[in-house]
Amino acid sequence: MNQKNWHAVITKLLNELREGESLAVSLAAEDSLFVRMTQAKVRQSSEIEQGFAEISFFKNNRNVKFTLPFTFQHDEDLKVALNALNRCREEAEHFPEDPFIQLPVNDGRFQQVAGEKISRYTLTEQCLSKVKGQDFTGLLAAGEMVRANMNSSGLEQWFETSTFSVDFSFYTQNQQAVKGLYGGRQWQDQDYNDLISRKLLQLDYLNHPLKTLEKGKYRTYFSPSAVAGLLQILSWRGVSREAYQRGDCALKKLVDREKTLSPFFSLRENFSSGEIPRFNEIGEIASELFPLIEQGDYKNLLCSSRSAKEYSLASNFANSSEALRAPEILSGTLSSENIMKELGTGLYVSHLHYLNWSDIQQGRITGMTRFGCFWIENGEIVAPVKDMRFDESLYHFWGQGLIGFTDKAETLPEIGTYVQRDLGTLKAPGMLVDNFTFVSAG
Amino acid sequence: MNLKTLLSSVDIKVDWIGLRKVEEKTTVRRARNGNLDPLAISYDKGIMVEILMDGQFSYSGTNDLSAEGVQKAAERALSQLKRLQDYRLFPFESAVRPCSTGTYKTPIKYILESSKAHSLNELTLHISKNLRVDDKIINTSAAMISIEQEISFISSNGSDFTQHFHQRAFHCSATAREGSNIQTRTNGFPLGQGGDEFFDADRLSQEASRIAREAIELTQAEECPAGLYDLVLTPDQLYLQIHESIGHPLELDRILGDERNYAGWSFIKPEDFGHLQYGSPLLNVTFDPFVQGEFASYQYDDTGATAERHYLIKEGVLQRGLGSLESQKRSGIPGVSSSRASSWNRPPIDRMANINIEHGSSTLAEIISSTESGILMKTNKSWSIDDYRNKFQFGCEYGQLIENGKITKTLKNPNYRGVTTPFWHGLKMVGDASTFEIHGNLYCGKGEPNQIIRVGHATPACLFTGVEVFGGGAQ
Repeated sequence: MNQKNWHAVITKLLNELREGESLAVSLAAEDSLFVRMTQAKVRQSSEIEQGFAEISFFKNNRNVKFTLPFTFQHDEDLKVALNALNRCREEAEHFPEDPFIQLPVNDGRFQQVAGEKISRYTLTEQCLSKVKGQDFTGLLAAGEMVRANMNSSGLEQWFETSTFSVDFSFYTQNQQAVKGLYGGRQWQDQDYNDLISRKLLQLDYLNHPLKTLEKGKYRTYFSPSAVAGLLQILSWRGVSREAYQRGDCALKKLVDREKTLSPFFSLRENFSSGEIPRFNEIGEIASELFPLIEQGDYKNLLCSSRSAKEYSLASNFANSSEALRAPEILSGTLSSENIMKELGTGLYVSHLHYLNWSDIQQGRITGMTRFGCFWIENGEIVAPVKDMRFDESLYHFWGQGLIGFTDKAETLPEIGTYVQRDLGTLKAPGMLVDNFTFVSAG
Repeated sequence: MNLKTLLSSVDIKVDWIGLRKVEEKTTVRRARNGNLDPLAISYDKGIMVEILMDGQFSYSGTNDLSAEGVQKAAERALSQLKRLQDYRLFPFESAVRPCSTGTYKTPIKYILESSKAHSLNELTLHISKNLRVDDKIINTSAAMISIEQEISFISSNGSDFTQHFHQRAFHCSATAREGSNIQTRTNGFPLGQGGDEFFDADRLSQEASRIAREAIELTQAEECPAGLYDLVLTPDQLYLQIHESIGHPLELDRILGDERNYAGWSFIKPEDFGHLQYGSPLLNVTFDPFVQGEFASYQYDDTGATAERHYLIKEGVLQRGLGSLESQKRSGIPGVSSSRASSWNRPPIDRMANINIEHGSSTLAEIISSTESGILMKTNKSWSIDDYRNKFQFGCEYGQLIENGKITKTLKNPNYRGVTTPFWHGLKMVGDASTFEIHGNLYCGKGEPNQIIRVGHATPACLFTGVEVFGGGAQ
């Protein structure tokens, strides 16, 4: 994934432009190791070297996009890119004008290189040697990732990083599980071993008989991982300006001042970790800190330049899908160390599973509890509980039902691997909610 | 360089080697509110090198298709295999990669020449404009997706096959507003294998006109009531019920526990096959790779296993799982040829393909007339199910109340929830061939690393008894 190869090919491509044409090219590339593990063994391992370049061609207010493989092999890449450019020219001839077109602009040079690369080939041994004899399952992913932009206005941006993640779970003989996530740029045996020890301790609790709870409303603590699940669904029609304009946005009633949220709830985009580039796929650079909700008050939705033009608004340089890229819920004042006492009697939810909007107009979300959830009485674990289905509105759990957030937040790396490894992190504290609605018995 | 020459050029000592090449072109035409979005074309190609040595598989993928690129990928796969030999899960043999030769091609009526394909831009735009049948419509969209994919596989034990697929999908939606009441109706995203005959202008325009009228109708409809009702599901909802509560729990990798950390396990135990009464005796579910026009029809799966039609559930009793020869060998459970990879950059895993409910003998009119107190639900809107594939909840776009055998009113925000086997035991009537429709899913996700795959589900309309139903609004 040599930057010089990329630069040389795209420079030659840009030199092929004719009068009245302009071009923007983005790149997403990786050289990754994936190890799928079960029963503390390796089920499948794969190494993937791949790159995808997207050409966005403009002429006479027409716009055609063409995604193609990028291999960092100069001659082959240039040949494929030139063919794509010619295809774009042909298609643009027959395409109507785009009233919301975003012509390439030069929003500034950006350069971040990976530094020391992960020694990926020792990681599997480091990961599995510590869990021998356990029913351990999960995915190790490691390697280098690149995001880059160049365009005919002179824009040049390159972001490169080298990271790893181990997303894992341990199982008891009665199929109860705890989940863990370890990731970063440098593997530290001590950190990993400590995490494994903590998770095995939690696993012990799951050997107790399961408690079945009736459906109803419960005082509930959500761990940072569970809060992350609730936060992530906002990327799906939750904070999008375009979704709002078409009447299909979960925060619409907040934006329209029909509903309110708790003053304890503040949500923002925070790019300061440097784990994801601030530039989007057309090179626009978002603010390092960008508030969406401050102390319960609506501040902003994510608005791409295309939506801005379509609805005569100001862009805040969101990506084209207007999804969260570096979300952070601000911490509160509840003591993380004494959270069981703060909960008192109620449910401790470690993780959530398979969330979906059940009535997006009302901000209602359904999903399941998963991985090591417990019934707590007077601040002490009584028993693990059977998984339960919930169906609750964000206007309750981030509104009047919100008791507060914990004073410590966790930073969780993005671990999605659909098509390619995802970049970035999410930051969330734990959360205590009163009268959270569970709709099926455990 | 052709695949056979590439394979012969690879210099590596292993027990077995296979090359799987995938080449795919996709065109997405999309219009919103009477304006076309930029035309989006994508082209991808690459090779997955698969090796087997000392009972262990290893994979390495590259989109550098030169002999040097493939050689490098093969060497990386072998190095990785050697590093992991102490952690081998199961001693596989090359028999799990059967020797298959031949070709498959999607039957098509026609493919528009590139000079005429631009008419699809105009049709997409036209539909997007025509969805605005009334000032109450505040948003419209239409999208046409055309996919052409070629998968070629060659191996050291003689496999040499190529499959060429043409797939099409069409989506349109209309959102209507009446006061603060906003309702969206879609066409349920029909899709299938075939040529450009799929984009029949008259049919698509009629479909668009219907959903726009129904979106407005929903803004004036009553909220779906809550309680226990008989439930009639049309195929554009039932397909996803099949997918989530029959397809996924039958996947052998889930039953073996490989998928526990991500998508989940399964409530099905290995000993359930051949014995478990999954649903009522009216329930007949097949793995059928030969339904013309269905999305996941094929001749071979991605390991070379030849596709065959099988009953997964017969007269309500569980017969077979969905899984590769690898999983069948590990589990001792009979499976089908459904080891599939999302593209060249992922190893094959146990997946669905075409999973269908066989039709019965009741017309939709007979189903409705036999229902005393029920709700009919159309077109999926929301879905969620637990990691063992037991407790589910679905939401639909459009509901109708059935009272004393007659449809009496339209209902908005219809939802239902239940538990898998009790729900399928409540199957009371199965629609006949006139109610049978082909649907499917472009985006079925699972696996570590994650994979999205395209599946087909065909089904008649069905009636279920005693289902927990509820509406929208605040809880």
